[in-house]
Amino acid sequence: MQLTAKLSPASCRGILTQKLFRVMKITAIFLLAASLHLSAKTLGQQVTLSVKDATLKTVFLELNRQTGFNFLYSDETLAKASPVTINVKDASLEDVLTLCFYGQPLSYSVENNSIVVKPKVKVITPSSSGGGQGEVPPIDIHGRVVNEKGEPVAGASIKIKGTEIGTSTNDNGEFTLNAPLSNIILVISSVNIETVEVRLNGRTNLTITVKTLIKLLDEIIAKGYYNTTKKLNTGTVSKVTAEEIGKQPVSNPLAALQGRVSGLFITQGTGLPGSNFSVLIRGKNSIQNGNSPLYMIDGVPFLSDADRLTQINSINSNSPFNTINPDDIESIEVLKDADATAIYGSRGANGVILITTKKGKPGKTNLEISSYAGWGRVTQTLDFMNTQQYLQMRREALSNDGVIPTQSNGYDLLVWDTTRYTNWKKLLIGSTSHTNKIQLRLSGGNENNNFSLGSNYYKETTVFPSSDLFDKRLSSSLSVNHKSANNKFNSATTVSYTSEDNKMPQQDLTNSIKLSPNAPRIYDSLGKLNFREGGFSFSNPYAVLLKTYETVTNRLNANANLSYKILPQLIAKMSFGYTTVSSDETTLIPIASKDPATSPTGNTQIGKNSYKSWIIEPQLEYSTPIGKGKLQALIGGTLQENKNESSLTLAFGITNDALLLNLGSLPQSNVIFSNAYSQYRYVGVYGRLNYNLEDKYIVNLTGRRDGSSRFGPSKQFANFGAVGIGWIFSREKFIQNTLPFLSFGKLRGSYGLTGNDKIGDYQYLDTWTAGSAYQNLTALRPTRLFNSDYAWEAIQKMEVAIDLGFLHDRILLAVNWFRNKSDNQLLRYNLPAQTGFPNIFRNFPGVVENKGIEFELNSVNFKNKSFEWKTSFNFTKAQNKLLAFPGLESSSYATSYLVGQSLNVFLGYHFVGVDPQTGVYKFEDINRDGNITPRGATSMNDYIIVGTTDPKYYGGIQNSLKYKGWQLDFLFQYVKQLGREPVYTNTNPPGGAENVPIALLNRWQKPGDIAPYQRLTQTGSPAYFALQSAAKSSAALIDASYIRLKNLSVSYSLPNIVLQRFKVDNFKFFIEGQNLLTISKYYKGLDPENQSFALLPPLRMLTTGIQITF
Amino acid sequence: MRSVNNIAKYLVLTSILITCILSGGCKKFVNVSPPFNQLPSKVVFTNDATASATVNGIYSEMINNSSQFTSGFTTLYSGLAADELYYYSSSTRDEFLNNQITLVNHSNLTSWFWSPAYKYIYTANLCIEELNKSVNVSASLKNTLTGECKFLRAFCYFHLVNLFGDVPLEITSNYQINATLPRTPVATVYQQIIADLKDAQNLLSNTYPTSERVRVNKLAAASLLARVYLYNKEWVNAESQATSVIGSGIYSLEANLNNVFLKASNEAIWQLRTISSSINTVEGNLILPASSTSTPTFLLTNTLLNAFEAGDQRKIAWVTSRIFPFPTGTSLYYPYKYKIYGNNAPLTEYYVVLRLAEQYLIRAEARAQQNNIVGSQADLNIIRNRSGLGNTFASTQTALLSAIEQERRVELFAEWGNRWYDLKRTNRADAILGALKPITWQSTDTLFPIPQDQIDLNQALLQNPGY
Repeated sequence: MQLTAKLSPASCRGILTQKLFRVMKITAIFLLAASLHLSAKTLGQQVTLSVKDATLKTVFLELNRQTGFNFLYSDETLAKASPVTINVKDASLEDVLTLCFYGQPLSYSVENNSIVVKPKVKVITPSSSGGGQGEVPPIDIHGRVVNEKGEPVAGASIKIKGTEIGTSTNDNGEFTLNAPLSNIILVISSVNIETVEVRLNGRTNLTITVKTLIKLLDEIIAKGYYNTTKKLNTGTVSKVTAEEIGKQPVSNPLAALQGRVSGLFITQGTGLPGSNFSVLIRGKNSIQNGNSPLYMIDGVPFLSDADRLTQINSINSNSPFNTINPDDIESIEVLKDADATAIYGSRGANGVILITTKKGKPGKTNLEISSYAGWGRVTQTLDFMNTQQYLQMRREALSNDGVIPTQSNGYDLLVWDTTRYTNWKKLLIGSTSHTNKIQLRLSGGNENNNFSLGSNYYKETTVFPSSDLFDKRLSSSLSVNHKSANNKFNSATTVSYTSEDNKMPQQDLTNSIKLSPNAPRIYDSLGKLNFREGGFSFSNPYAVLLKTYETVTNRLNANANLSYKILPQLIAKMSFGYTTVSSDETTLIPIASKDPATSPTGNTQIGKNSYKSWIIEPQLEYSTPIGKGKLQALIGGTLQENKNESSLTLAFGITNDALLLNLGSLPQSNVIFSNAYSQYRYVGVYGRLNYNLEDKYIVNLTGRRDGSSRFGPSKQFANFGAVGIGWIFSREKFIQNTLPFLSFGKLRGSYGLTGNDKIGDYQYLDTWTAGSAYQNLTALRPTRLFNSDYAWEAIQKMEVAIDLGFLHDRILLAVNWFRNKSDNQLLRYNLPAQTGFPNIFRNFPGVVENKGIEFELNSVNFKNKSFEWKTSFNFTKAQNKLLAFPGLESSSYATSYLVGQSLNVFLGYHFVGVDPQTGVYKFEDINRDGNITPRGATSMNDYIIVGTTDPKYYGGIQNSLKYKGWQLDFLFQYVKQLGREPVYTNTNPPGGAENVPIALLNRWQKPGDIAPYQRLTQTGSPAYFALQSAAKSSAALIDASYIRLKNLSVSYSLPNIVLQRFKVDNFKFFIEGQNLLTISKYYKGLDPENQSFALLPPLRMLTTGIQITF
Repeated sequence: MRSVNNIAKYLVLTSILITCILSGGCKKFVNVSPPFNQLPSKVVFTNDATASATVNGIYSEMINNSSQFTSGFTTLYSGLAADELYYYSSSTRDEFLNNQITLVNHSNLTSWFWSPAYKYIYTANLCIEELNKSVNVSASLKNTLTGECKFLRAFCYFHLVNLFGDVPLEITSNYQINATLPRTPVATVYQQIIADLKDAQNLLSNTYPTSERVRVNKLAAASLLARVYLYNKEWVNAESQATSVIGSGIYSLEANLNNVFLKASNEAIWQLRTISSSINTVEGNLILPASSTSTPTFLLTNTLLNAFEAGDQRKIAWVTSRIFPFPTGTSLYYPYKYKIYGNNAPLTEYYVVLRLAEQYLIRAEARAQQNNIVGSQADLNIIRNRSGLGNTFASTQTALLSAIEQERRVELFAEWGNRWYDLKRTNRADAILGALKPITWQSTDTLFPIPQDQIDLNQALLQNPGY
């Protein structure tokens, strides 16, 4: 027997109790010795017994068989006895008898070789040595269970070995047990600790230290309609837990996933607060439509990142995920393969992201408060020319073009002050943004009723020079669980509400960092915004700041999961969900933001958008042993409806900024109103059959038949399904014998079909839409070319994977190989404009393949009582390929795609550098026809395959170190990719009236110069056209690989001894950082992630805060 | 055994229940009703009001989108390509000014000219087909709407052939047929235009379909037909169509030149009315300077300014200038037919598409070609006298034709590409533009290239020579 628990008197408080304890210990040892001595001849025999709900009579017969003792009793006496459950191995007969008689209205005595059973006499017998006394007075045992960190272990089960007698620990890890004997063994077990046995040895007050279990394999994995464990899972699911999310100072839960999940590639659109993320699971399956995954929050479908909830186009397309407080999330599961996603049918093709929010847990009522303050700045620098360099560049460009500078083409040279210098980059995006967060969570309850109530306030400002721009969020969520007394009925209800207010300028000021360095002053001599100098206007970036775009997004999410255990093997479930998200957009263009010389008026746009979705899902779950294995079956259905309603009000000609929102004050003709509506309905029947033979062989069948309103009347229904198999070969004897170092080994595979219905609603309808009224009479225009005959995009997914565990599962490795093939592509098929419309929806027999390999490694490198070091690593290498596109050459995609290449293939000229004589970019004449011609439909002409913007490989490596109260976590994210080169891809030529990166100092200036950049030009010259060709050449793609210290978190928790003094459960200080360091060897733009000249890059964030739990 | 039976019973019952709920109702469940902001075609053409709204929609679209051929771009970009306009500040539109449109910089041709024209043609085709099928729309409305659609289709094709030469000729809304159509010879397209305009004349009456002159009537069809006959050198027909307009008694020349482009102009045969409540005309907003201190964008060339005879009132009423930068700069001259720049001014100007003055000039030319010298002089003098000029001295056919070319130039300047089209149809482009732009002009520049993106989308389209 392994006894790793430590019994220590440490918990005893004060010297007095310590003394008392010592006395008790001595007494106990003495008593034990006496009892052993006395029972040696009589009841010392060893007994092994395993009975459940057995009558005493049966037990006595068995004891008689094993020991030879006769039992003397009358049936009448035994009739009053209750049945017993005993499970002991090599226990003494005396102990067994004590257990048999514990709580019975009976006592016994030993007479010769007989044990005489008689009704209990109500006399208090003083405790004495020697067997044979009928009744041992129950002993009250008080204990506390703590883990190696001294933290209480709540909910651990405490049982007297060999019996069903027991209790469980409360939230402080404490328990009280009424035990029949002083020398019993306690068995302490729980899902997350190693089971220990502790012999009481007479102690009545003790602290038991247990080891937290490294049992990653038993981690519950949610697969939407059912749960499994990492060990038994036949599909590919990655999980990110609250612990990992909580350490990142991000406002959007999608941001918390970056670099942590294999096969998941996430890019941030801009560094503005509340900005959107693009999310791809295992590459682009669809040539054109909806590549975004299906998102479910507690089983309720949520807006995907592709579903816009805004109408007004702005730089800051606010992400609906920003309304989800990352602190409310318990876990995020990313479902990737057919086995995991086919049960989602037509919605599962691009993978599924399940967000599970925090739920109530039984235990002491806890209040957790955490708060932080943070600072954000732009990471990479891209330096621009100073005034002197700029003026020289401009003069050179004009002279190169043979143009004499005039006021109209050279106002920056001749009219504006050439001695002025403004560092626009520093001025416009060089400020520090501020973040504040405060989070409260109250939780508690008992086994049957418990709750969790959380509230959160978050505010983030921008790096722009304005104090009036922000993203604010206020959210609350309540989760209530109830279980009936007989444990048959279960309900879990969650309601959450978030209100987010995001106010940004309508344009990203990053675009203005290219302003001429001698552009006019921001303010004129009167302190008003300046719009011109010497009659030549410029776009004043501070005027841009006054043009605001504010979005107020409110989200309500409510769901209820009810389940009833009809029979032990049969559970009926019903889940209801409702989500509503509304977003109110307001853009204001005040008069103050416009040049007063144009006698301007103000404009207002007000957009109202609402998304409402409900879902009802009945489900029946059944499990039964069949043969040596276990069968689990599930059948269910889905009814779902989404409704989108929106309206847009445009108002203009507003003559006073104070009336910008007072639309009633305007003449009716200055207000235009429009509205839109769409409805989506979805219905499906799904099922699952899972057979698990001895935890060794597992087959998992899932399927769904579903229908969607997004398709024409005859194409609404389709079937999807998958088969997953798993073989846990480490349970095979021959593996155990030959590979003893392997603690776990599973080979699994899956194959199946899922669908994609991520297209807009009503695309099959032949309708007319209202246009602007003409002569104040209704005007209609055809909405689209219509085709009622299109159907799902079908995606076949294949997966082969191996999961391995080494050193008692301290090292876990998963390797997945996948291949997804999407067929019957649903295209908004481009048509020549001569048809009246640019495109039509249709299915197309194009085939796109995504295949790749993913590694996920988790390792506990070191672990002892005070120090722990864990590492996790993930790697994804994937490839996207267009396998077939019949008739590509004659189609409208002839010049966009190439069979055999990625959908993101970049075709262009072969850039050979700057001609030293002419100073103009040169390209290779591949087909040797004397001309440089772009790709045609049937010939590549002078184009080559430059590369693809798909990442070649990517991943992350995370380390967690804990030492006593200290914890350090850091995540490095890495991406190997090609990206857009900023200088060659800027459409305005270097030489025009805007600033350029300092790299352009190294340019061609006179014949014979060898330089990376060509001669300057402002317009119209051969160099001007060469630049347009360079943007379509091998020069336009450069290595944009990077390694980024994505997250760093350091925390310190105060030791218990201090906590106890302040009556606090936990007190933690932390410093957290995001995007702290970016290493990109070749990429010279602002940031290799969003790769834009004109958009704010993701910010470097640093926060510091505290967390207190009472 | 009883429990197994129970389980089986529950399973079967629930399966039946779920299946019934879902499959019984689910067919119905997923049939959603159309959105309230869209009307199905089969509903639209069952009643007069909505059927009328579809044709109204074409006019609305024509003037709605500010960057297209029907809202000012024909004037501006043909004006640059010819010898009427130039651009003030350094611009990326030099390709029009220098007739240097290349396959790299041509992309605006699609969105400004090609796409909108074909969109209106598609809508007109669809309406003609649906109206033909419809049993509920009243017969008289059917005629009017069909007539308008045929006119609008002809109008779009007229501009397409003049800008691009051969273009795909589509008379159905079926995209499967249209998507791969090659270019149809100009002559064939003109046959269709003439047929459509004749149909329109038969279907429409002299009364405008609605109040004002912002939708087309029978005489608008005659006016365009007169122009089409003129371009096709069918002098007799051109004269008779022009006469039918001039003699209709509905229109008269505005004595005051400042009234010609007003909404109440009695000279207007067809105008487009703004759908925006902040501006009068898109073209006015494109040409006129945005503020008292800013520059006008499009300026009149010196050759055009010099073409005005002394005393021509048009140079005073329809041309204006601004000193820039004030007060030391040069005078910049720009068109001033439309005088109102945006910003919520009261609506007084409509965008004139067809007007009576052109009909006199068409008839003058047609008569001159038929050697009707007196008749031709009479028509020409009507236009000259209105502008404060004396009678023409031209008395021979050649001299008259030359005088008419000159008169068209100053009467119809910066108006719907008339000058650009005239130079091409009279084969004068090489002589005049070749002299004006000796380095960049090529004979093939008379046609814009077929947009390369459209050739990429339809391989049956072949490029014009010279591109």
